[in-house]
Amino acid sequence: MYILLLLFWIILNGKITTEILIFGVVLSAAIFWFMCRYLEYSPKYEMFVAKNLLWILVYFIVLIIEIFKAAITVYKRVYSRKIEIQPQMVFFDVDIESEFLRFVLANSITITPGTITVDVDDNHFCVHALDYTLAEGIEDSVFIKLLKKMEGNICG
Amino acid sequence: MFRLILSALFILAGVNVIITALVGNYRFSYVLNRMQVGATADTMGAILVLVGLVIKTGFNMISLKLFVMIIFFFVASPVCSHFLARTETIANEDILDECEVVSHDSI
Repeated sequence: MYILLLLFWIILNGKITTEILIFGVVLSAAIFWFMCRYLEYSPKYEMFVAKNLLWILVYFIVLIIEIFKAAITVYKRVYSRKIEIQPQMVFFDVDIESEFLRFVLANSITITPGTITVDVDDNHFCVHALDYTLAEGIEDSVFIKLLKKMEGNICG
Repeated sequence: MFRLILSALFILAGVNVIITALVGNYRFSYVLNRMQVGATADTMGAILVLVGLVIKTGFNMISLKLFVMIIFFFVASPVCSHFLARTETIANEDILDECEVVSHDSI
């Protein structure tokens, strides 16, 4: 995370000189300390990323494929001669313990065209779908399977 | 030359997505349905255009900045549409007329 902060600072500056590097090292250290002290960040998240690097890559690829598949479905609905959609509000449970992974799941559902996470309460999800075909099988989608695998890796 | 064509394809696809979102916004009638299509412009449209620009500039500091923008869109745009959807769901009393409710709850 410290390296990411430093990289972000360098990218925003646009070039690497000695002054910028020194400022960056000091400022990133300050922000990292602030995160650990007040934002409940701890180095154990870095362990999580290191253990699951492969799964995170797979997750991103799957996410992009799902986005494109859903986008094509939405396109068909938009350009069809007559608008015939059946919007649905789906309630379902997921058994993912980690709060961060639930946030990732909610964000991936929302970023997929045609579905929006309306509310998350503990592990009850409420999702609005543009059409009933988009909501089919959402309670055991690919995302949830992948996230469960990642969660298994935290403990084991 | 190949890079130019590839970036042009990406940018055209992104513009196409944004135009589709615009058309969809006028064709659907209810807020949540409109938002579903509108959110597509935010995520897919902007990301495709930015990917096209990244390919166009090649690998340097500018393309790294564009890459940071892509990550920002990936995180920020779902949060924005989620808040709009939740506000609409809470505020609208006749929400059941607009969409059917299905429950897979195990409780």
